[in-house]
Amino acid sequence: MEKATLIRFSDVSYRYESDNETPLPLALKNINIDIKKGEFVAILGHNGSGKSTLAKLANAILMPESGKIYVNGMDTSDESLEYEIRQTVGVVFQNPDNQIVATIVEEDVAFGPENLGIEPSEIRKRVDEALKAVGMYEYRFHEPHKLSGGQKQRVAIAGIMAMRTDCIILDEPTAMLDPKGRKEVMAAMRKLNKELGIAVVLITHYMEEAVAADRVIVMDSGRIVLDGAPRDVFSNEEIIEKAGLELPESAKLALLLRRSGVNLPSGILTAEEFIEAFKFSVSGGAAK
Amino acid sequence: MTVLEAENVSYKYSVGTPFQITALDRVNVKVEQGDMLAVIGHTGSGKSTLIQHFNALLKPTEGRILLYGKDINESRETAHNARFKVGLCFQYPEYQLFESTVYKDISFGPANMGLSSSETDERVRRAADFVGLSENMLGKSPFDLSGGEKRRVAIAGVMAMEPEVLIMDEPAAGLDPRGRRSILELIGNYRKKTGRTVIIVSHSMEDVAGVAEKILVLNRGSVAMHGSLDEVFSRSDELRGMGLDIPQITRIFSELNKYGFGLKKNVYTVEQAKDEILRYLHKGGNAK
Repeated sequence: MEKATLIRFSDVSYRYESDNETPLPLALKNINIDIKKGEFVAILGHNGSGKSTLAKLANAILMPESGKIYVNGMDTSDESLEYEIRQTVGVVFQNPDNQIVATIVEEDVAFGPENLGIEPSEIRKRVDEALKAVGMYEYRFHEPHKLSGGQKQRVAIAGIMAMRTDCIILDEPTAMLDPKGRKEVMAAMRKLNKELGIAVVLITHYMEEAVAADRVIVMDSGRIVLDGAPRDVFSNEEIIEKAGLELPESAKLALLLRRSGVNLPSGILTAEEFIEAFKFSVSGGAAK
Repeated sequence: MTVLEAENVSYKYSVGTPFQITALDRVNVKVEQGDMLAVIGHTGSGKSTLIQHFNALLKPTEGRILLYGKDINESRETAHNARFKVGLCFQYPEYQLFESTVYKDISFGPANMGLSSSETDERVRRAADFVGLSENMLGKSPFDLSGGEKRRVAIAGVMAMEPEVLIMDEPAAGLDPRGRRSILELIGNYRKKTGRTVIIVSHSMEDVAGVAEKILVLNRGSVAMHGSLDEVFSRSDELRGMGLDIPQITRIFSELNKYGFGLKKNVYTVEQAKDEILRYLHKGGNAK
């Protein structure tokens, strides 16, 4: 069954305002995307390619110069729907310092659901769950401003999780996290997506994180240049390079080896796939 | 010769409150002249706190920081001098640009050192050239530059002080893969060209593997390991226990060796991995 569309970008262009008479070039050019309910989409692109602009448009923080954006069928340019749109799509931004509002961690996480008028007992439950999911439960009584950057980011993510929006857009949420923190956040995202059916749009610079998504969109200078399953997207090595990106490390190693004449199949993306393929082709396949 | 030394350094904040936190706990570290050192650790492990001690921005609660054997907190003057001799580039340094032109921003540090204007001018141009900012960019407003360019301006500003020790907190965070690679190359070249001591803080084991020669591992405010890449990355289980990891490529090699492949263990980057696998195969690894 075809899943319902949650966010639709219909021929959207956007341009930031210039502070002089010369208009800035378009930040987004004729973007068409459908994000379905329950999808896990990764968006990749070089710095300045338009990824964050996309997030702000989906959350009705910015309005398109032309084209339309619909969230659950609601036109984002209709100001009366702003509140409802933000209850549908939550955004976690790059810098957690700008997103922390309370003086105690658990109060910060409760801020969103409180504003939605949710029952206190339900808020309690959501706050605890969200804090546990991001591994910050033991810090629930701490002061957010004394946490490290990575810890603050996890609190910000918990704050959106507690709102139970249909879709969470995360703008490089793991940029400041250590390897374990990254794994925890990725696991929390997957849990949210698979168990609660929340659509996740992950904007990231880490190719390894994109591999875990159902779908990968690659942006280059305000345009979508690739959109598909991770394996299909990462098979377009030239477009990836041209967009200022790289293949995941395992994929890169496999490609370099194939070019040097080593017998490995195409389509390797993860460490596990590399290990399996190498075992087969070196000790099995090639040894015969 | 030892350049910087932390001698039994502890740092505590919120002393006397229920939230007292020991950020550093009796840290002893010696940084040698010409070291290319990476400081790694989970979020909140004390990395940023330690490096802020190295240039006297923070004063130890106990213990001493020695620069060429002298306590940098001995007097106001020694602390002031330490800020020029130990150049610190913060996380996301581009947010700290404030001058009207790129030139003025880069010259802020050296001008504050009381250098002549001709000496300052020379240093600004040299640093700008080194980080790859062209002559015509010097007159531009830093706010008209791209994210990656802004970061180069900030880095040039610290380099122009020509510090004995250059410390960079997460220099590649938030950059796309191409920007990441070029910043890391820049740091490597700086080290090669000047022979000066460089310390980077990083959460990316892949970045550390590509640029560092020694690693300092902090765990809950204490030194857990300090040694060569081989010494540190051979302790993968302990690293994982501390919220860290080994580079993805190293993990692939250790997995393959479990299946009886006799590959070298100390392989950290994609390039090294390609060379090692080709060496192994030519030696007859696939003839079995």
